[in-house]
Formats: sequence, C-alpha cells, structure tokens
Amino acid sequence: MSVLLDLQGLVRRFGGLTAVDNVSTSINLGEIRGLIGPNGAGKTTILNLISGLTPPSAGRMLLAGEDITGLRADKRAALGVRRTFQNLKLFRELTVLQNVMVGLHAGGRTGVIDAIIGTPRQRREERTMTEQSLRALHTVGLADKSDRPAAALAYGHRRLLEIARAIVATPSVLLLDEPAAGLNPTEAASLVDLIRRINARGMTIVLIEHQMDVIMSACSRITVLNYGKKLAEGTPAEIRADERVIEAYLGRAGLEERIAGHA
Amino acid sequence: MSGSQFIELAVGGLALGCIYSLIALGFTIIIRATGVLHFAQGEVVMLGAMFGLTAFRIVPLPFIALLVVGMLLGGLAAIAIELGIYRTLRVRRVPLMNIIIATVGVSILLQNGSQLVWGSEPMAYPKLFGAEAYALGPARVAPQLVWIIVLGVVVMVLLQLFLRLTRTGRAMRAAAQDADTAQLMGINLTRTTAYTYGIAGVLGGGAGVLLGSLFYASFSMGFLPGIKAFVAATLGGLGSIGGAMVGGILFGLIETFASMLVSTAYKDAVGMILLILILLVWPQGLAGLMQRAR
Amino acid sequence: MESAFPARYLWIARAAVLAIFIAIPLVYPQKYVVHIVSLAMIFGVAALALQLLVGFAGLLSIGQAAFLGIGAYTSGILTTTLQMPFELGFLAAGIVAGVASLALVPITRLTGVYLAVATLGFTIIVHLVLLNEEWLTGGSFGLLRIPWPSLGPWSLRGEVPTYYLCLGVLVLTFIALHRVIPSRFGRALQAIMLDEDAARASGVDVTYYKSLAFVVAAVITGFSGSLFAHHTHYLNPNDFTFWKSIEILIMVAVGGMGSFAGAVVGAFVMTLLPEYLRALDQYRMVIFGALLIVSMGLGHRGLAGLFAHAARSVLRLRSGETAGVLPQRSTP
Repeated sequence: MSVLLDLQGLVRRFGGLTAVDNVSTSINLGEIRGLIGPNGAGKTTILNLISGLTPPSAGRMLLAGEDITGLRADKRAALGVRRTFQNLKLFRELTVLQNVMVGLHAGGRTGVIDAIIGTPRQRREERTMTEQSLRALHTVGLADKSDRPAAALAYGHRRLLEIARAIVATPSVLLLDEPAAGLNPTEAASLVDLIRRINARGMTIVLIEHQMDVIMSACSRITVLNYGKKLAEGTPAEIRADERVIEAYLGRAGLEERIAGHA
Repeated sequence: MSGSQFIELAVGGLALGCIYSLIALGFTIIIRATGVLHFAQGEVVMLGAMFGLTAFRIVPLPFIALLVVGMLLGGLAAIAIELGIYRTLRVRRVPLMNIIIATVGVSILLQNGSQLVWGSEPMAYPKLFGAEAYALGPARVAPQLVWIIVLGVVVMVLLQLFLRLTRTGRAMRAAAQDADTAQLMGINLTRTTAYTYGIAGVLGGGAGVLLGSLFYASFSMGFLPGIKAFVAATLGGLGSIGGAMVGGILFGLIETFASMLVSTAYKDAVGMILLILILLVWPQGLAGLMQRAR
Repeated sequence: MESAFPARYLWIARAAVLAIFIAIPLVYPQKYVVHIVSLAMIFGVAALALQLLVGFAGLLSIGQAAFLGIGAYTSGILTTTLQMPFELGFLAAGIVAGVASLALVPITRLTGVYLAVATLGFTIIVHLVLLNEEWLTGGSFGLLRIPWPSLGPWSLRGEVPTYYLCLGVLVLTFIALHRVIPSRFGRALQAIMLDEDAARASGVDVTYYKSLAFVVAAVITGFSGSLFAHHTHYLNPNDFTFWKSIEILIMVAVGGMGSFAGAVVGAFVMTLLPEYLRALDQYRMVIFGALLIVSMGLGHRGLAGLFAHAARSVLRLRSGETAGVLPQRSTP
C-alpha cells in the first residue's frame, strides 16, 4: 500500500480560532477516506488546505512523496488534486459542457493566437476536450443535458455536474465536500455507486459527509475530527464501535438508528 | 525651509486637508452603505458653494450661517438625487455598475446645469474674515485658514457623535455593516440610504462653502477636489470613516508640501502614484494597517 | 452567455449591418458623415476590447484611455518624427500598448472598486506623462501633421479609404473576439469572472489569465489608438484623460454587458449622440447627462438586450406563435 497523500501536523488558525489543530494522516493510493465530525470540526478547512485554497499556519502536505505545501491551488489542480465544494461553485452562466471543459484547462496548450487564427491544433484540442468532457458527463449521467446552462439544472444534477468537472481530468486525488447534501435516499445511493465506480478507475477519494449511510457504505477508512483535532481513525466497523466517536459525534441512539438503516 | 514657512505651509495643508476630509467622508459613507462610488460627490460640493454664495447675495449673512446654508442645501440636493434617481434604479434591480455610471450622468447633469444657472465665470466669495493675520510664533497665518480648520473639525466631531449616539446614526451604521440583518431588525433601508446620501451631501456642501471661501466658486470647481478627496479616502482605507478623516488631512498636507518640492506639473501625479502604491501594498489603506497592528 | 437566437438570424442580421456600413460612404459622401462614422468605429474597437475585460473577464477597468493614448502617440510619433510607414506605426501601437499593460500585472490581485481605482490612477499617470514630456509628445501643443494611413503599395489618403480601413479593423476585431470567447482562453476568463476559487480549483492560473486579458485588451485598444491618430491627424493629451476611459466604459454599459455587438452600438451612441445634440446648443450636455442616467435604467443587458427583446417578439409573431394575448384567427 503506497501513500498517496500525506498530511503532517497540519495547523490552521484564523485569528484566535484554531480550526485545524495538528492533524496528521496518510491516505493510501486507491482508498476512499471518509472525513467526519460535528459541524465546525475542521473538515472543510482540511479540504481547503489540501486543495490549496487556504495556506496552513504550520505543517506539511506531500503528494506522492512531493512536498506540495507551498504550491498554489491551480498548480495542485494541475498535479491531480481536484475537488467539489460544499456550497456548489459552478460557473452558472456557462453550459453544462463548458463547466466540465474548464476542468480540462490545465492539460490544454492552446492560447489566444490559436483561438483567433483557428489553428489545426486548436481544432484538435477543442475536439478532444469536448469528447473527454462528454465522457465525464456520461459517467455522472448528465450527457443529455450538455448544452443547458448550468443554472437551469435541478439541484441534484448540479451536484453531479460539479463531480463531472472534478473528475474529467482524471485526478489522482478527488476531494468531495458533502456531495450528498440535499439528496434524497435514492439519489444518495446512486451517488455511492458513482463514487465506487470512480474509485475503481484509480482515483483516490477523500469524502466529507454527514449522511452516515453514505460514509459507512462508501469508505474503506474513516478519520474522525473534533474541534480541529483528529479524534479517531480506522475502518467503518472500528469507528462505529469507538466509544469516543460515539460520544462526541454520533450519539448512541442516533448511531444505532442510522446503522440500522444501513445494515 | 524656515520654521515660519513650515508652520504656514502646515496650517495651509491642514485647512485644505480638513476640506478634503469632509468630502472624503461623504465618499466613504456612501461606499460603505451602498458600494457605490459616487462620482457626483464633487458636484454636491460645488452646489454647496453655489448655494452659499447665492444665499449671501440675497441676505448678507455671517460666515457660519453661510456654512449652515451650504450644508443644508447640499444635503437636500443629495437626498433628492438619491430618492429620485438612484433609488429608482435600485428598484429596477440594475447592476451596481449601472448605478455608478448613473452617478457619472448626475455629475455631468449638475455641472452643466450649474453652468446654465450661474454662468461660466468663477465667482468670488465675499471677504468674511478679518484681514489681519494671526501670529503663530514667527509665522503669520490667515484667520480664514484657522476658521476652516476649526469648523472642519467641529463638523467631523458632530458627525461622529451623530453616528454613535443617535438612533438614526446607529441605524445607518448597522445597515452599512449588514443590510439584510438590519432590515430584519426593523430598520428602514430606504430611509437610512437617504440619510446616508443626505449626510454625505451635508459634508460635501459644507466643504464647498469652505473651499469657495478659500478660492472661488464655479460650476467646475468640484471635479478635481472630488478626485483628490477620493484618493484621500482610498489612502485612509475605502470604507473606513476614521481613515477618511486621517486620509484627507494627510493628503492636504502632502499636497501642500509637495507643491513646494516637486515641479508643479507632476504635483497631481504625486497623489496618483501614492494611490497606486497604497492599493498595491496596503489595499485597505491606513485603516487596514491600524487593524493589523492591533 | 450564449445568444438566445438561432444562429441563422444572427448571421443575417450581421451581414445586413455590414452591408449598411459598406454602403454608407456611397450613400452619404459628405466628409462630415464619413468622418464621424469612422470615429464611431474606432471607438467601437476600443469598446470591444473593454467588453472582453469587463463583460467576460469581470475586470472593471477605467484604464482604456491610457492605452488609446499610448497607441495613438506611438503610431503618431513613429510616422512623423521617424518617418516610418503606417503599417509599422499601427503594429507598434499595439505592441507598445501591450507591453505597457504589463505594468498592470501587480494590480490583478485587486478586485472590484480597488481594481477600478488602480486602473484609474494608471490612466491619470499616463495622461500626465503625455502632457509633460514635450520633447516626445509635443505636450499640450500636441502632435501635428500625422499622415493618412497606407497599406503596402496603396496609400489610403482621404476620408473614404480610411473609413474602410477602420471598418476592416472593426470587423476583424469583432470576428477575432467571437472566436476567442468559446476557446480555452475564453472559458478560462469567464470561469474567473463567474467563480474565481472554482476556476483555481480547476487548474486555471488566475493571475496569468487576468494579466493576459489586460494585455489583449491593451493591444486591441492600441490599434484603435493608431487609427485615431491617423484619422484626426492631430493628437492632444487631453483626448486621453480618464474621462475618455469612462466614456468607453459607458459605451459598454449602455450597449449591454457581455455583448460585443452591444459594445459597438454603445460606441455609436456615445459618438453620434453628442453630434445630434449639438443643435440643442447649451442644453446638450445636460440632456446627455439625463439620457445617460435613463439608459442605466435599461439594466444589465443594455441596448443590446432591448434590441434582442424586441427582435424576439417580432420573430415570435412572425412564426405564428401567439404572444399569449393575441386571439387566434381561423383562416376562411
């Protein structure tokens, strides 16, 4: 098992508040790692640290052995770290297809001059990017809506679009921030299936979720955060049984209820 | 530079700075409350000067009365513009940029309208101050300058008191911080926005009377001071009231001293270069620096 | 971002407009008419450049007059003092303006009003340089006797040949920008405008593309500046104050954000309207100000939106769809 993403002693302070407090973990190639914890535990902040949206106050991050701590967000994306957002950050006025094509930006080569003149390599690249984007849309099930403006999509489909945009460049690490939020049970189950399929294609996934059935069924390992600190880490079974986790986050009755629903 | 020269320049710079501060405050409270860069603020200054002078021609009033007239009418004019034009546009939900361009339209309208009403010739303010200069140590200082500083400071203090102590003032500050929440708490946004423009108009109108008495009154007098006051507001930190006051005074001093040291041609460039440097290094201006120091 | 029109209608409309423009000097050979329409087209090019910045990259720039001036003076000086041919002056105008725009790279990390104010400051500085460096620009005396343009062996002396040159540049710019928007570069700009963080997370180097947008806009504006110089044959720094920048911004706002055709319409309105208002003499600026205020009530889509709305209604009526209010008539 090789380590793909290594977080070493990550700290993030905002003024007087320590959102992430000395969190270390190693995510292996091919894992689906769940990140759970109460609201305000620091989960999204960790994702922001990994994707480069926020710089750490201390600590290091290694991607396949290389130190990416000082790298800009767009450089990390080019290296294969992609993400979705808790509050959906789509390019609302662009079409579904165009949204996904932006995901392929880093791999492209054509520029202004190519565009104005219409060079052969421009046409080739556009064609390739279009095809690749349509394939990604097909994977999430939105291929028939490719020409609609993103703003016109239903909520559940918008979530899928963000995933399509994040996977189109076949990233090595995919960070999903509450992808099941607002989805009904059918859609959530379908999402878990999608996550497994994406993972089977070779993408390592870090998944933040509050819906326990999604986490327990999709993840191979789970990291639990509380008040910015790592509280526990292990397989779903281990986490379910962990006293500290149950006390801090799940609550005995609530946990049993949710697990009953899943099992 | 001799000691007396320094003092004279400093007093001149302070007086000019107070005027810039008043105008800058107007810009700032409008930007804080609505995000609008009010291009017509300079014209409100001009209106204050014109109204003050016209009032004097009807009834020879003492200077303080002229100042009050200029302030009141400036405020009323600003409120009229806000309620008549900007609010109408906001109701139609036009993008912010359109409103900002509308302020350009208002600026053009007011400048040329004033030209039609008062003519193109600059008009002199009557000599309302004693001719004898005060002695400040070795320096001789015109009483007018001292009056301007005193009156300017008084107006700024009154503004602060108003914002902190009165209900309307506090409502305005609340609305500027978070319009939605303020509305939910029962604050009438239309009224607070109107008051905001009104106060900016009062400050601008007052600055106009002071400026007019220092130089002259003409339809185009508001343009350049408006830009400079805006630079001053940016220097102090766009959106910071304290910053606007400090920025204005600083700008007045810098401009006055710089005109001695730099060739007059590039005098205005000093301000612009300063502006860009500030935006690059401290986009929050002096106010941002102070916050970080805390 | 996409036009709501079937592409067919759009091309017919554009071809019709182009035909009209080609016909104008033939139908109205008066020098004055040709001169003013040329001027409108020159500003149309500048407005197109600004539309790229404001409408597609989301960069509120009040700096276009600076590049207009840099382009104009570069072309003017090269062709008068250095006796160079127009083609070189024209190209140099774009290149020098583009290089000058690199000075704005540091300010690309500013947003909104701050960015606008920084570009404003840049314009004022450039204006002051144009005004004070008399040895280079002639200062307030101006730069005189700028020659007519030429294209290779053909001299384009005269209002009418220059008109067609301006039309050519306008059409080429229009086409070029329409090809840029659906490209990788165009998508990157729009992504930055719509959601900068998401753009970054998708691998877009935001600073690079914002800077590149400024450079492209500056180059195009530089070209229009060169045309301006060779069209009016005289340059004065006061033609390139920040008010000019604001006029160009107004062209884009009046025409409608995100519409290239709108930007050109806006340029025509802002250039021709003051001429029409001349008859009103002293009231003309007052009315202009009032019209400006009123036009801002048109909102986001501006005049382009107004036309589009009207045209769509016409098309719907034509195709037989009821507008919902008209009663159906049965054919006898």
